[in-house]
Amino acid sequence: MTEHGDVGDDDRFSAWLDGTLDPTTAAEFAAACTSDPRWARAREELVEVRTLVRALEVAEPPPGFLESLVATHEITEDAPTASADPVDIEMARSRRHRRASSGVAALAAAAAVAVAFMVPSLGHVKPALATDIRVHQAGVSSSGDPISGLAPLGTGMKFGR
Amino acid sequence: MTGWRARAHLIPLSVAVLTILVPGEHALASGRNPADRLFDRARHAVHAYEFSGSVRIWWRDASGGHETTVSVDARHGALDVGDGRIVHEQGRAWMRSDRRWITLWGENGDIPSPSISPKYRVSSEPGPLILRRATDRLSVRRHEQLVEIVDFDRETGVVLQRNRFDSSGASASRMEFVALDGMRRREGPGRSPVRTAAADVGTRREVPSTALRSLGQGFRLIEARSMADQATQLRYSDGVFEASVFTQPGVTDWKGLPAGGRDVLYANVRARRYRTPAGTVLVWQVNERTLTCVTDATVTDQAAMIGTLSREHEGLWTSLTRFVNGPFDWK
Repeated sequence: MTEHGDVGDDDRFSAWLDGTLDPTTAAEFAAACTSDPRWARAREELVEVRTLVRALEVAEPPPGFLESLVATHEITEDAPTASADPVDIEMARSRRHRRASSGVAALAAAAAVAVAFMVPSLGHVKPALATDIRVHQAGVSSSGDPISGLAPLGTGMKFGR
Repeated sequence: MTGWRARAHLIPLSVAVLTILVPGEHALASGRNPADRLFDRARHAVHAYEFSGSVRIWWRDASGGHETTVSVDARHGALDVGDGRIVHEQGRAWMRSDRRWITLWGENGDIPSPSISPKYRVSSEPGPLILRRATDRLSVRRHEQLVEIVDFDRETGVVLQRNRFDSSGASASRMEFVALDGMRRREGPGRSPVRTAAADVGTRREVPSTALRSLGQGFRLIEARSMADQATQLRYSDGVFEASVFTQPGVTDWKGLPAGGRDVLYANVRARRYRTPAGTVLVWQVNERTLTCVTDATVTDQAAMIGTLSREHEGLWTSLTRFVNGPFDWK
């Protein structure tokens, strides 16, 4: 097994992952990660941490926004004006134009715009299952038996059928 | 019989009661029955006693049974699991990698889980000798079906063996000490907690007012957390089993999920199921949300949970959609 000395610092690892290292150094990093398990583990950990940190940077709705939105709708949902019937698009446009000057429509439009801008875009989600399991088991250990809660995390956590 | 004489005959009874209550000195508020206190006592025993040993984990999945052995070491008020890879200290938990610590659970203090008694029928009796130590056995049943047997060390309260059964009555998972040395009461101060955590994967937050308070059959919401990957974790317990539901906005990347899962149908809901040493992991999608449930509950409970959650999220999403589109549908 090839040894490559101490694992490099996080900044250089990050630079490599970002593709900003010079080609020679990048090649050395790639070779080290292929042949040295310590480097491979270091890369995996940094990728995991970067994923977590980057997730934190995404703008989220302000606290209580969604709750207040739902609460608001709970009032309007049962209102007699709501309907699931098919709607003629041209008629709907005409009605929408007539109501454009009303305060209610303006508020509704503002809410729709707010939702469009403030709710994170819905992409494809790949849950971090290993992390979810670890967090769940840590919680189990805080409210139940710590040994049976945490012992499974010492097993290597391989998924199986 | 009056005065102190009248009370004197109660002294033996008081002592007897104390033998139950003292181990539960950290027990949660009133409403905890003796079975609950056994678990409360076990939780604090790993900090009150020092020992080292090995625990064998056995679990079953579609390919058969699997087992592995993990070291546990309780010293200076902290519990090290897997050669120190996992550290637990007064409710908090960290995972150590080669280069950094990751905080799995950063808040200490008790989380009040619900009592066992509303859902389950429990009975206790002297248990088997395990590694030459006397035990007390707690048997947990639901609708006369055995769901779990737990053997507590009589002297310390440490859980020495735990056997869980699935809906068919077959053993689903098992934890048992196969070696245990140096058991003694801890003396001196606790160890300094881990302070070098580099990443915190989630933090506790106030339970949202709109969160589902109960789930499936008898699971109650006990806390909420915000995860670093934008997921929201809601943790439920029925007093014996626990379930965490992680919800993320977005459709499920089915092809990107780890290998080893199996697609299953719970009623009309398709889910990807993984069976792990920690229990069952289910991933499924409701409208444009991806839900992940980690639980050690039975298949029956899993089906009930998925049913509840799917209905709830369909309702929430439908509400939001109708609200946003509402102005264009008004007549």
